[in-house]
Amino acid sequence: MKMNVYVKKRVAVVGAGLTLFRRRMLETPQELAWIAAKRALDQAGLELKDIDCVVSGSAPDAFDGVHLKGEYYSEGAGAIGKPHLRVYVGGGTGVFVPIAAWWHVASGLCRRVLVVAEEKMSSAADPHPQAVFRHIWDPITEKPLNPNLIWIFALEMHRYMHKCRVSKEDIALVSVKNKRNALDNPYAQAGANITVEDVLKSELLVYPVNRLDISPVSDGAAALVMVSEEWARRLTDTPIWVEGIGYTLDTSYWTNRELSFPVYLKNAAEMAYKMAGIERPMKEIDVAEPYDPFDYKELHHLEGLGLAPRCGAAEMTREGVTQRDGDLPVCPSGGLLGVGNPIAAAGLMKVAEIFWQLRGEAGKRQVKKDAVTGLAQAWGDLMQVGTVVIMRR
Amino acid sequence: MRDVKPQIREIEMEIKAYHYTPGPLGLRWLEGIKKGIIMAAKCRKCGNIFIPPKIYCPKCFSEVEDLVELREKPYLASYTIIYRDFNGERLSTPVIVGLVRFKGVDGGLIHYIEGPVEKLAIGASLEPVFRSERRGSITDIEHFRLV
Ligand SMILES: [Zn+2]
Repeated sequence: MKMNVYVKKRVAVVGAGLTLFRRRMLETPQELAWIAAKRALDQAGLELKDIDCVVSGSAPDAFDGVHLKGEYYSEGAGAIGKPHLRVYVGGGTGVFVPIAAWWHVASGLCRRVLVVAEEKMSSAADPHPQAVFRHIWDPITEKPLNPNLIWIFALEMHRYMHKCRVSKEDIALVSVKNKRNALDNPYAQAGANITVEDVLKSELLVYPVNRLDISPVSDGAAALVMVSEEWARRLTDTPIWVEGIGYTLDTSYWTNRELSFPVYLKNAAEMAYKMAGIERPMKEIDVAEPYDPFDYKELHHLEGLGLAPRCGAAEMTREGVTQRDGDLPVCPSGGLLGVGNPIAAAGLMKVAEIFWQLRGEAGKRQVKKDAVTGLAQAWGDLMQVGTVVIMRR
Repeated sequence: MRDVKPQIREIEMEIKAYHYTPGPLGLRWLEGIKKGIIMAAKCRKCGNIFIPPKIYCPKCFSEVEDLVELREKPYLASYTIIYRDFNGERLSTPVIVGLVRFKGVDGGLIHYIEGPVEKLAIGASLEPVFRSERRGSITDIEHFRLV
């Protein structure tokens, strides 16, 4: 397949690092950024002085409670004295950061880029971090109703359940799988051995969403080192190549979308597949980390990515295909449901997990099959952007 | 001209209160201030001494674990005199705000400056004046006095 984007330099990931994901970290946003950045540099075998450019990402300033927080945490992200770009596309940010870093390397502008995502949601203490989304609504038609983000997810989930004949039990299986996977993740906040019944019996928050359908509020940071081909060859025998990137927008009006199917993701995935030369994603993707802030979103996103037939992700999940020892392991990290959801850091954690999986460095989380090609994905803006990264060994 | 009176009023902001954390080393630093001691972080690798303390060295990016007490008197690196308050009201007594630095220490503190006006000059020597009731905050230092 012909590539749809002109690429001057091939881009590889050569190091990754994470902080613990926790509800209330003592470390400042700068310090969280530094912990992840330092670990990624250590794995890459580089020092900060070797880095040409820094690309970072973080969700609303209103979480950490510091306006221009990208500038505020930039020192911990290693950006002082270097070209620095902070990107922000809502929940999609974590996978958009390596996309923006990719531009820097693929264009030939920078050869060694430090890629950092940070989020400290617990600073937004009163009334709660969810209140940060108070003003994301259309001020004329929606705001007067005082909507909550969970309402929208609930409407989407219900529509998906209705159109695809998916049961709450099917959806709960995702939460059970991801939380169990997270038990093997040393950075995870919400690993647990739970049952479908536990999910169904957990508190009903907004029908049909129960408490255990949702990922937790978290603090944390994640980082990568992304380099040009010549540096990748110099630094490691096992670089992981970024072979495809995709990011596209759907309408800002969630009312105007067919909620049962994520078109925002279908388009982004097609962009990435085309670039990576992937024609049959179900056969060619070995391991995937789709965005799972809610359990139904993993199913929804698998379908949007073309990794499951339309309305077919629930059946795949029931049959165990998405387990770590299955044909298409999904969220082997534990996902946002199990590892935690410090927005931007959670998305980048998924890219880090694919990096470790393809290198065979995922320890107890290593998938059974020999994974050569992997995919990470996030979702954000006004619930309208899909961000996709495809990597290959 | 069309009438542009607001049709919909939205007065509540997203978050009413933030809870910030000072970081592991920042916490020890504030505990020191509570005891009436001003400390700085010291990097074992490159020797950089800096305030405010962080768990990493802004100069060499390595981990920092140590705090050292600053025994020498700080000095006034710059100052300004404030005549109106935040809402634009004239202050009955102007307030002096200074950039307080310590010799050999990277960084500094913004703080209130008091003392004999004839001594107010860039480079002037200062000493911290602590409140009697302290809670582990930068405002446990009431001001720096010109000496
Ligand atoms: Zn140092």
